[in-house]
Amino acid sequence: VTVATLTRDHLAETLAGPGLRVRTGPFAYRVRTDLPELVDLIHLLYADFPLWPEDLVDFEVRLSRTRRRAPWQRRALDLELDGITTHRALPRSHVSAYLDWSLNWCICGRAPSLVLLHAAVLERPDGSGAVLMPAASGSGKSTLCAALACRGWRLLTDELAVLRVGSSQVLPLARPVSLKNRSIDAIRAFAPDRPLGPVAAHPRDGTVAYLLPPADSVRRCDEPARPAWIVFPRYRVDAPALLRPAPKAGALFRLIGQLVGAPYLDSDRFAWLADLVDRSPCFDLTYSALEDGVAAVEAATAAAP
Amino acid sequence: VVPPNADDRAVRWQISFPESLATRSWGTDVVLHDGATRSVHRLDAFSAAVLDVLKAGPADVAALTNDLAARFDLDRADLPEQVERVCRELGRRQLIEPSRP
Repeated sequence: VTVATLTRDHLAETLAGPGLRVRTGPFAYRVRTDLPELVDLIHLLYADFPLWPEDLVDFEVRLSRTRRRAPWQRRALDLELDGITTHRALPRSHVSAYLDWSLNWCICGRAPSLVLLHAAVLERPDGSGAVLMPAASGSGKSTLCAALACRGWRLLTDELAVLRVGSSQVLPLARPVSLKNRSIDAIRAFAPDRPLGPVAAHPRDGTVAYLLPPADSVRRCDEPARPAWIVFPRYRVDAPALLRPAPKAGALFRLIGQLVGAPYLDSDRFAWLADLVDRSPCFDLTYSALEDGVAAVEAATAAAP
Repeated sequence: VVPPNADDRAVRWQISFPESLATRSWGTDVVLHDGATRSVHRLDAFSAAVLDVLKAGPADVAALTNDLAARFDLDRADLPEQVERVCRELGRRQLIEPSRP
Protein backbone atom coordinates (compact mmCIF):
# COMPACT_ATOMS: atom_id res chain seq x y z
CA VAL A 1 0.00 0.00 0.00
CA THR A 2 1.50 3.30 -1.08
CA VAL A 3 0.81 6.99 -0.51
CA ALA A 4 -0.80 7.07 -3.98
CA THR A 5 -3.71 4.99 -2.66
CA LEU A 6 -4.79 7.94 -0.53
CA THR A 7 -6.88 10.71 -2.09
CA ARG A 8 -5.56 14.23 -1.74
CA ASP A 9 -8.21 14.95 0.93
CA HIS A 10 -7.52 11.76 2.85
CA LEU A 11 -3.79 12.49 2.72
CA ALA A 12 -4.38 16.03 4.04
CA GLU A 13 -6.50 14.65 6.90
CA THR A 14 -3.87 12.05 7.75
CA LEU A 15 -1.04 14.57 7.69
CA ALA A 16 -3.00 17.02 9.84
CA GLY A 17 -4.17 14.31 12.24
CA PRO A 18 -2.35 11.13 13.21
CA GLY A 19 0.42 11.71 10.70
CA LEU A 20 1.55 9.89 7.60
CA ARG A 21 3.78 6.92 8.37
CA VAL A 22 6.05 6.01 5.49
CA ARG A 23 9.17 4.00 5.00
CA THR A 24 12.37 4.80 3.18
CA GLY A 25 14.93 2.02 3.18
CA PRO A 26 15.80 1.09 6.76
CA PHE A 27 13.86 3.99 8.29
CA ALA A 28 10.17 4.36 9.09
CA TYR A 29 8.98 7.82 10.05
CA ARG A 30 5.91 9.92 10.64
CA VAL A 31 5.26 13.25 8.94
CA ARG A 32 2.68 15.73 10.17
CA THR A 33 1.68 18.99 8.58
CA ASP A 34 -1.20 21.41 8.22
CA LEU A 35 0.44 23.23 5.31
CA PRO A 36 -1.54 22.65 2.08
CA GLU A 37 1.50 23.26 -0.11
CA LEU A 38 3.34 20.46 1.70
CA VAL A 39 0.36 18.13 1.30
CA ASP A 40 0.49 18.76 -2.46
CA LEU A 41 4.23 18.16 -2.51
CA ILE A 42 3.99 14.87 -0.60
CA HIS A 43 1.05 13.79 -2.77
CA LEU A 44 3.24 14.24 -5.84
CA LEU A 45 6.73 13.26 -4.71
CA TYR A 46 5.99 10.50 -2.23
CA ALA A 47 3.24 8.81 -4.27
CA ASP A 48 5.12 5.52 -4.62
CA PHE A 49 6.35 5.32 -1.03
CA PRO A 50 5.03 2.39 1.01
CA LEU A 51 2.87 3.25 4.00
CA TRP A 52 4.27 1.95 7.26
CA PRO A 53 1.60 -0.11 9.05
CA GLU A 54 3.08 0.04 12.56
CA ASP A 55 2.60 2.87 15.01
CA LEU A 56 6.20 2.63 16.12
CA VAL A 57 8.49 4.73 13.94
CA ASP A 58 12.15 5.72 14.04
CA PHE A 59 11.43 9.43 14.14
CA GLU A 60 8.76 12.04 13.60
CA VAL A 61 8.82 15.34 11.73
CA ARG A 62 6.19 18.03 11.96
CA LEU A 63 6.01 21.21 9.91
CA SER A 64 3.09 23.39 10.87
CA ARG A 65 1.81 26.95 10.77
CA THR A 66 3.80 28.97 13.25
CA ARG A 67 2.28 29.63 16.64
CA ARG A 68 3.76 33.10 16.60
CA ARG A 69 1.23 35.44 15.15
CA ALA A 70 3.07 38.67 14.51
CA PRO A 71 1.83 40.13 11.21
CA TRP A 72 5.13 39.46 9.47
CA GLN A 73 5.06 35.82 10.61
CA ARG A 74 1.73 34.79 9.12
CA ARG A 75 3.49 32.94 6.33
CA ALA A 76 5.90 31.15 8.63
CA LEU A 77 6.20 27.59 9.89
CA ASP A 78 7.45 25.83 13.00
CA LEU A 79 9.51 22.68 12.80
CA GLU A 80 9.19 19.89 15.35
CA LEU A 81 11.45 16.87 15.50
CA ASP A 82 10.24 14.03 17.70
CA GLY A 83 7.79 16.34 19.45
CA ILE A 84 10.32 19.05 20.26
CA THR A 85 10.05 22.39 18.49
CA THR A 86 13.52 22.98 17.14
CA HIS A 87 12.83 25.99 14.91
CA ARG A 88 10.14 28.65 15.00
CA ALA A 89 8.88 31.09 12.37
CA LEU A 90 10.82 29.72 9.43
CA PRO A 91 9.82 31.07 6.01
CA ARG A 92 7.12 28.88 4.47
CA SER A 93 8.53 29.46 1.00
CA HIS A 94 11.34 27.08 2.03
CA VAL A 95 9.03 24.30 3.18
CA SER A 96 10.23 21.64 0.71
CA ALA A 97 13.86 22.20 1.69
CA TYR A 98 12.97 22.06 5.40
CA LEU A 99 11.21 18.73 4.96
CA ASP A 100 14.26 17.33 3.18
CA TRP A 101 16.66 18.78 5.73
CA SER A 102 14.70 17.55 8.73
CA LEU A 103 14.51 14.00 7.36
CA ASN A 104 18.27 14.04 6.77
CA TRP A 105 18.87 15.40 10.24
CA CYS A 106 16.81 12.65 11.86
CA ILE A 107 18.37 9.91 9.74
CA CYS A 108 21.87 11.09 10.68
CA GLY A 109 20.92 11.00 14.34
CA ARG A 110 19.30 7.57 14.19
CA ALA A 111 22.01 5.59 12.47
CA PRO A 112 24.97 5.27 14.84
CA SER A 113 25.51 1.67 13.77
CA LEU A 114 25.68 2.60 10.09
CA VAL A 115 28.22 4.53 8.05
CA LEU A 116 26.70 7.61 6.40
CA LEU A 117 28.44 9.42 3.58
CA HIS A 118 27.59 12.50 1.55
CA ALA A 119 27.31 10.53 -1.66
CA ALA A 120 24.89 9.55 -4.37
CA VAL A 121 24.53 5.82 -5.01
CA LEU A 122 23.00 4.15 -8.04
CA GLU A 123 22.94 0.56 -9.19
CA ARG A 124 23.69 -0.26 -12.81
CA PRO A 125 20.62 -1.27 -14.82
CA ASP A 126 22.08 -4.79 -15.24
CA GLY A 127 22.35 -5.14 -11.45
CA SER A 128 26.09 -5.86 -11.60
CA GLY A 129 26.95 -3.37 -8.86
CA ALA A 130 26.46 0.12 -7.53
CA VAL A 131 28.50 3.23 -8.09
CA LEU A 132 29.26 5.46 -5.13
CA MET A 133 29.59 9.15 -6.01
CA PRO A 134 30.91 11.01 -2.95
CA ALA A 135 31.03 14.78 -3.25
CA ALA A 136 30.24 17.93 -1.37
CA SER A 137 27.14 19.97 -2.05
CA GLY A 138 27.41 21.97 -5.27
CA SER A 139 29.65 19.52 -7.09
CA GLY A 140 26.99 18.36 -9.55
CA LYS A 141 26.50 15.03 -7.79
CA SER A 142 22.70 15.18 -7.52
CA THR A 143 22.31 16.38 -11.11
CA LEU A 144 24.36 13.50 -12.46
CA CYS A 145 22.54 11.17 -10.11
CA ALA A 146 19.16 12.37 -11.43
CA ALA A 147 20.33 11.93 -15.01
CA LEU A 148 21.46 8.35 -14.35
CA ALA A 149 18.17 7.58 -12.57
CA CYS A 150 16.34 8.88 -15.66
CA ARG A 151 18.38 6.42 -17.74
CA GLY A 152 17.26 3.34 -15.85
CA TRP A 153 19.86 3.17 -13.07
CA ARG A 154 18.34 2.20 -9.72
CA LEU A 155 18.43 5.16 -7.36
CA LEU A 156 19.60 4.23 -3.87
CA THR A 157 20.20 7.79 -2.72
CA ASP A 158 21.06 11.17 -4.17
CA GLU A 159 22.91 12.56 -1.18
CA LEU A 160 23.13 10.30 1.87
CA ALA A 161 24.71 6.89 1.35
CA VAL A 162 23.87 4.39 4.08
CA LEU A 163 26.50 1.67 4.39
CA ARG A 164 26.40 -1.29 6.70
CA VAL A 165 29.83 -2.05 8.07
CA GLY A 166 30.81 -5.66 7.72
CA SER A 167 28.24 -6.63 5.14
CA SER A 168 29.73 -4.76 2.15
CA GLN A 169 26.30 -3.42 1.32
CA VAL A 170 24.76 -0.06 0.69
CA LEU A 171 21.18 0.27 1.87
CA PRO A 172 18.54 2.00 -0.27
CA LEU A 173 17.34 5.43 0.81
CA ALA A 174 15.58 6.53 -2.36
CA ARG A 175 13.89 9.88 -1.87
CA PRO A 176 12.99 12.77 -4.15
CA VAL A 177 16.19 14.03 -5.77
CA SER A 178 17.11 17.55 -4.75
CA LEU A 179 18.00 19.76 -7.72
CA LYS A 180 19.20 23.30 -7.25
CA ASN A 181 19.39 26.35 -9.50
CA ARG A 182 20.71 25.51 -12.99
CA SER A 183 20.37 21.78 -12.31
CA ILE A 184 16.60 22.17 -12.50
CA ASP A 185 16.64 23.31 -16.13
CA ALA A 186 19.43 20.86 -16.95
CA ILE A 187 17.25 17.91 -15.88
CA ARG A 188 14.17 19.39 -17.55
CA ALA A 189 16.12 19.47 -20.80
CA PHE A 190 17.69 16.04 -20.24
CA ALA A 191 14.47 14.23 -19.32
CA PRO A 192 11.49 16.43 -20.21
CA ASP A 193 8.97 13.68 -19.43
CA ARG A 194 10.11 13.15 -15.81
CA PRO A 195 7.92 14.82 -13.16
CA LEU A 196 9.49 17.58 -11.10
CA GLY A 197 7.95 19.25 -8.09
CA PRO A 198 7.46 23.01 -8.03
CA VAL A 199 10.48 25.27 -7.96
CA ALA A 200 10.79 26.79 -4.50
CA ALA A 201 13.18 28.96 -2.56
CA HIS A 202 16.06 27.26 -0.75
CA PRO A 203 17.32 28.76 2.51
CA ARG A 204 20.94 28.70 1.36
CA ASP A 205 21.21 27.82 -2.30
CA GLY A 206 18.80 29.93 -4.34
CA THR A 207 16.09 27.67 -5.73
CA VAL A 208 15.31 23.99 -5.37
CA ALA A 209 13.00 21.50 -7.08
CA TYR A 210 12.65 17.79 -6.39
CA LEU A 211 12.61 15.06 -8.99
CA LEU A 212 10.14 12.26 -8.43
CA PRO A 213 12.23 9.15 -7.62
CA PRO A 214 11.69 6.23 -10.03
CA ALA A 215 8.86 4.02 -8.74
CA ASP A 216 10.98 0.90 -9.15
CA SER A 217 13.73 2.39 -6.94
CA VAL A 218 11.23 3.25 -4.21
CA ARG A 219 9.55 -0.16 -4.43
CA ARG A 220 12.87 -1.98 -4.03
CA CYS A 221 13.60 -0.26 -0.71
CA ASP A 222 14.44 -3.63 0.88
CA GLU A 223 17.14 -4.57 -1.61
CA PRO A 224 20.66 -3.51 -0.70
CA ALA A 225 23.27 -3.19 -3.41
CA ARG A 226 26.95 -3.98 -3.59
CA PRO A 227 29.15 -0.90 -3.98
CA ALA A 228 31.58 -1.76 -6.75
CA TRP A 229 32.91 1.53 -8.14
CA ILE A 230 33.71 4.97 -6.73
CA VAL A 231 33.41 8.05 -8.93
CA PHE A 232 34.17 11.54 -7.62
CA PRO A 233 32.08 13.84 -9.81
CA ARG A 234 32.79 17.49 -10.41
CA TYR A 235 30.76 19.81 -12.59
CA ARG A 236 32.75 22.50 -14.38
CA VAL A 237 31.17 24.96 -16.77
CA ASP A 238 32.00 24.13 -20.39
CA ALA A 239 34.54 21.47 -19.42
CA PRO A 240 34.76 18.41 -21.66
CA ALA A 241 34.00 15.14 -19.89
CA LEU A 242 37.19 13.75 -18.43
CA LEU A 243 37.36 10.44 -16.59
CA ARG A 244 40.62 9.54 -14.88
CA PRO A 245 41.62 6.82 -12.44
CA ALA A 246 41.90 8.30 -8.95
CA PRO A 247 44.85 7.33 -6.73
CA LYS A 248 43.60 5.07 -3.94
CA ALA A 249 45.08 6.90 -0.96
CA GLY A 250 43.56 10.18 -2.13
CA ALA A 251 40.27 8.41 -2.80
CA LEU A 252 40.16 7.01 0.74
CA PHE A 253 41.04 10.38 2.22
CA ARG A 254 38.32 12.13 0.20
CA LEU A 255 35.80 9.40 1.00
CA ILE A 256 36.45 9.89 4.71
CA GLY A 257 36.09 13.63 4.10
CA GLN A 258 32.47 13.01 3.08
CA LEU A 259 31.70 10.95 6.16
CA VAL A 260 28.75 12.18 8.19
CA GLY A 261 29.65 12.13 11.86
CA ALA A 262 33.42 11.83 11.56
CA PRO A 263 33.77 11.19 15.34
CA TYR A 264 32.25 7.77 14.68
CA LEU A 265 35.24 6.77 12.57
CA ASP A 266 36.73 4.08 14.73
CA SER A 267 39.41 1.67 13.56
CA ASP A 268 36.88 -0.91 12.34
CA ARG A 269 35.16 1.62 10.11
CA PHE A 270 38.47 2.93 8.85
CA ALA A 271 39.52 -0.59 7.89
CA TRP A 272 36.15 -1.22 6.27
CA LEU A 273 36.31 1.97 4.20
CA ALA A 274 39.91 1.24 3.23
CA ASP A 275 38.87 -2.24 2.06
CA LEU A 276 36.04 -0.70 0.05
CA VAL A 277 38.45 1.67 -1.69
CA ASP A 278 40.98 -1.11 -2.18
CA ARG A 279 38.60 -3.39 -4.05
CA SER A 280 36.71 -0.67 -5.98
CA PRO A 281 38.06 1.01 -9.10
CA CYS A 282 38.15 4.75 -8.30
CA PHE A 283 37.74 7.59 -10.77
CA ASP A 284 37.70 11.37 -10.96
CA LEU A 285 35.07 12.67 -13.34
CA THR A 286 34.87 16.24 -14.58
CA TYR A 287 31.88 17.04 -16.77
CA SER A 288 29.61 19.79 -17.97
CA ALA A 289 27.17 18.13 -20.43
CA LEU A 290 24.94 15.60 -18.71
CA GLU A 291 24.95 13.21 -21.68
CA ASP A 292 28.75 13.08 -21.47
CA GLY A 293 28.68 12.64 -17.70
CA VAL A 294 26.27 9.72 -17.96
CA ALA A 295 28.36 8.14 -20.73
CA ALA A 296 31.50 8.50 -18.60
CA VAL A 297 29.90 6.79 -15.59
CA GLU A 298 28.63 4.02 -17.86
CA ALA A 299 32.18 3.60 -19.22
CA ALA A 300 33.76 3.63 -15.76
CA THR A 301 31.43 0.89 -14.55
CA ALA A 302 31.29 -1.22 -17.70
CA ALA A 303 33.91 -3.67 -16.53
CA ALA A 304 33.39 -5.75 -13.40
CA PRO A 305 35.87 -4.80 -10.67
CA VAL B 1 52.77 19.06 21.96
CA VAL B 2 55.77 20.47 20.12
CA PRO B 3 58.11 22.26 22.56
CA PRO B 4 58.54 25.88 21.47
CA ASN B 5 62.06 27.17 20.90
CA ALA B 6 63.58 23.93 22.05
CA ASP B 7 66.54 22.35 20.40
CA ASP B 8 64.44 19.90 18.45
CA ARG B 9 67.37 17.64 17.73
CA ALA B 10 67.76 16.92 21.43
CA VAL B 11 64.12 15.96 21.83
CA ARG B 12 63.36 12.28 22.03
CA TRP B 13 60.13 11.64 20.20
CA GLN B 14 57.59 8.92 20.84
CA ILE B 15 54.31 7.95 19.26
CA SER B 16 51.44 9.48 21.23
CA PHE B 17 49.10 6.48 21.02
CA PRO B 18 51.05 3.60 19.48
CA GLU B 19 48.27 1.03 19.92
CA SER B 20 45.69 3.13 18.12
CA LEU B 21 47.44 3.71 14.78
CA ALA B 22 46.34 1.89 11.66
CA THR B 23 47.71 2.52 8.20
CA ARG B 24 46.75 1.63 4.68
CA SER B 25 49.23 2.20 1.88
CA TRP B 26 49.15 2.16 -1.89
CA GLY B 27 52.62 2.54 -3.33
CA THR B 28 54.25 5.50 -1.56
CA ASP B 29 50.92 7.00 -0.50
CA VAL B 30 49.87 6.24 3.07
CA VAL B 31 46.62 6.98 4.89
CA LEU B 32 46.87 6.76 8.66
CA HIS B 33 44.03 6.50 11.16
CA ASP B 34 44.57 7.42 14.77
CA GLY B 35 41.88 5.61 16.74
CA ALA B 36 42.65 7.61 19.88
CA THR B 37 41.83 10.97 18.33
CA ARG B 38 39.64 9.51 15.52
CA SER B 39 41.66 11.56 13.07
CA VAL B 40 42.87 10.62 9.60
CA HIS B 41 46.12 11.75 8.00
CA ARG B 42 47.61 11.41 4.56
CA LEU B 43 51.34 10.81 4.74
CA ASP B 44 54.18 10.45 2.30
CA ALA B 45 56.44 7.42 2.47
CA PHE B 46 59.15 9.25 4.42
CA SER B 47 56.80 10.43 7.19
CA ALA B 48 55.36 6.94 7.41
CA ALA B 49 58.89 5.56 7.72
CA VAL B 50 59.65 7.95 10.60
CA LEU B 51 56.55 6.69 12.38
CA ASP B 52 57.57 3.14 11.64
CA VAL B 53 60.97 3.67 13.28
CA LEU B 54 59.32 5.26 16.31
CA LYS B 55 57.16 2.17 16.75
CA ALA B 56 60.27 0.50 18.15
CA GLY B 57 60.54 3.14 20.88
CA PRO B 58 61.43 6.80 21.55
CA ALA B 59 64.24 8.26 19.46
CA ASP B 60 65.87 11.63 18.83
CA VAL B 61 66.64 13.12 15.44
CA ALA B 62 70.13 11.63 15.34
CA ALA B 63 68.90 8.13 16.08
CA LEU B 64 66.06 8.47 13.58
CA THR B 65 68.49 9.72 10.96
CA ASN B 66 70.83 6.77 11.49
CA ASP B 67 68.01 4.27 11.35
CA LEU B 68 66.39 5.74 8.23
CA ALA B 69 69.72 6.14 6.43
CA ALA B 70 70.54 2.52 7.09
CA ARG B 71 67.10 1.24 6.14
CA PHE B 72 66.72 3.12 2.89
CA ASP B 73 70.34 3.77 1.96
CA LEU B 74 69.80 7.55 2.04
CA ASP B 75 72.32 10.35 1.70
CA ARG B 76 72.87 11.73 5.21
CA ALA B 77 73.67 15.29 4.08
CA ASP B 78 70.19 16.84 4.44
CA LEU B 79 68.63 14.00 6.32
CA PRO B 80 68.66 15.47 9.88
CA GLU B 81 66.84 18.62 8.68
CA GLN B 82 64.33 16.48 6.85
CA VAL B 83 63.75 14.25 9.88
CA GLU B 84 63.44 17.29 12.12
CA ARG B 85 60.86 18.85 9.80
CA VAL B 86 58.83 15.65 9.68
CA CYS B 87 58.95 15.27 13.47
CA ARG B 88 57.67 18.82 13.90
CA GLU B 89 54.83 18.13 11.49
CA LEU B 90 53.91 14.80 13.09
CA GLY B 91 54.06 16.54 16.47
CA ARG B 92 51.79 19.31 15.21
CA ARG B 93 49.31 16.64 14.19
CA GLN B 94 49.66 15.10 17.68
CA LEU B 95 50.75 11.78 16.25
CA ILE B 96 54.05 11.98 18.15
CA GLU B 97 55.14 13.86 21.25
CA PRO B 98 58.30 14.51 23.20
CA SER B 99 59.21 11.52 25.31
CA ARG B 100 58.95 12.07 29.04
CA PRO B 101 62.01 11.10 31.05
